[in-house]
Amino acid sequence: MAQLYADYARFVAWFASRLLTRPDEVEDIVQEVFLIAARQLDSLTDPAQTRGWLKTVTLRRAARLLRWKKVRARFGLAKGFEANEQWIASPDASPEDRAALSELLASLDELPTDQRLAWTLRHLHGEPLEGVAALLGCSLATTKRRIAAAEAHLQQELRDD
Amino acid sequence: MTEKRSKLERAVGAMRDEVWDDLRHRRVAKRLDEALEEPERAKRWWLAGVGAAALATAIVALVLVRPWAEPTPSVAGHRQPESARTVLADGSTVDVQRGGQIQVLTDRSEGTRIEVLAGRAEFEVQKRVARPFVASVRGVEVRVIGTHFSTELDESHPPGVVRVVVSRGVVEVVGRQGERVARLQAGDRIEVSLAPAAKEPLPASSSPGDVDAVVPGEPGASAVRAASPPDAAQLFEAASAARRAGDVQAAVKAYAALLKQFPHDSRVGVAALELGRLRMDSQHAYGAASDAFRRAIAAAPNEGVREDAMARLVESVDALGDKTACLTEQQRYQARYPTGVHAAAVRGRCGAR
Repeated sequence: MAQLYADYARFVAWFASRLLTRPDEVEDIVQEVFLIAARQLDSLTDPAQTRGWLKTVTLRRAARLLRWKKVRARFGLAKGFEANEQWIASPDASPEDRAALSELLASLDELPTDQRLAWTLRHLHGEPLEGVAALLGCSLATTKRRIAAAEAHLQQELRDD
Repeated sequence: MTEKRSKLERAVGAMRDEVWDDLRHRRVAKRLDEALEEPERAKRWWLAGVGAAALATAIVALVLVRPWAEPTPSVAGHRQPESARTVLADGSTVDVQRGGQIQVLTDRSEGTRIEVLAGRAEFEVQKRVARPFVASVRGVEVRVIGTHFSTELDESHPPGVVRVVVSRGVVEVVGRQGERVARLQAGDRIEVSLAPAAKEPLPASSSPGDVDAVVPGEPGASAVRAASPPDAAQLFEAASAARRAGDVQAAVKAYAALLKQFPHDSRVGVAALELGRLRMDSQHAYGAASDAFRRAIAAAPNEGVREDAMARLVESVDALGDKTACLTEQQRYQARYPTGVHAAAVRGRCGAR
């Protein structure tokens, strides 16, 4: 288990960091994913399969968290859980780019979770369309539709002044 | 001629690839270890209900009996063969390293006093305003508000020294004669000699292996030493390079030196903003961060920097718990940038959570 964590924690954290907008959420997801992995350690022997399995589990846990945050927001309980760009901004990013990143994270929070995940997997993780569809368990057409809807929203929210 | 990128592209490009540092890695590993040590907890979930009821009963009993109103001395009576953790009434912890020894003299609602009798002890102190926390090592006192620090009694070279290292927050070190020796901030360390006639403190450095030195007599107030003093551009470049490399201490020093030595330089606004970010995000030194953000606002070279600094100032005074200042700075931001990029975040501050 320690070896699995040493080998893959960084990857899982990176994968989760594109799906979520807060460092505490990423830490929680990494912990949850490896707790699940600990119970299925015997079946995680092939490195190629392990990576894919960790991606799928991370995605599902992140999706659950994002949906739960939506519910909380609906009841006015989202305060204190806002996106935080400080931890994920590159040290080289200019103040203007950091501001743009802050807007992007806030806009992602506004998207329906399905659209958000599709766009994120495609544009922040660099997954091919087929890979996005497989990870989300939907058809290619649905994947494309979700990505296009998210893109339109983000372009609108982040239009240049 | 570079191609003009859209704001969305710039936002995506501003993301860092490396988000997982050693501290997070170790922290989650520790949480995982703890969780995996108690597998039954996950399986026998129904026990949670029973536990919650027991906990509620215990809380009621604690409130009625108020055991913390009485002295609760406890002694780590012998040197620890292995590292051991002591949890105090308010959740603060003391990790005594192998061979170390502490004695909890008092742990009451009025305050906590701990004597470090031997070796190294690491303190994680919950934020406390009206309840002093004092760790004492051979008469050298470390007074704390809320922080993470360690003390070490090193007697390998008689008469020995007391080392104090602060990793978060601020502590005050008081000598055996009751005189204030130093005020240490995150990243600072100091050695206090136990020699009877020796002047305290001994030479100290702000971080192990750091080439720069803390000014003697002003531990914690670091200054850059160099054969030929660097100019503002060199300081700014050095600070930016250190920041990119993740060397927070060096970056903070260089930015602070720039602000101090070249207060009218055109880089002061950006330097102050970056200094404030580092003080707040990496060192959790909210007071120092607020000062830096105020400086950034005053010297901002453009609206982007000013807006960032004003928003971060709201965040830092909020973290300090200064509600009046928070509301004032919140109103200032909202008046100047009613539809600003940080408007939503600023709106959620000052007790709105």
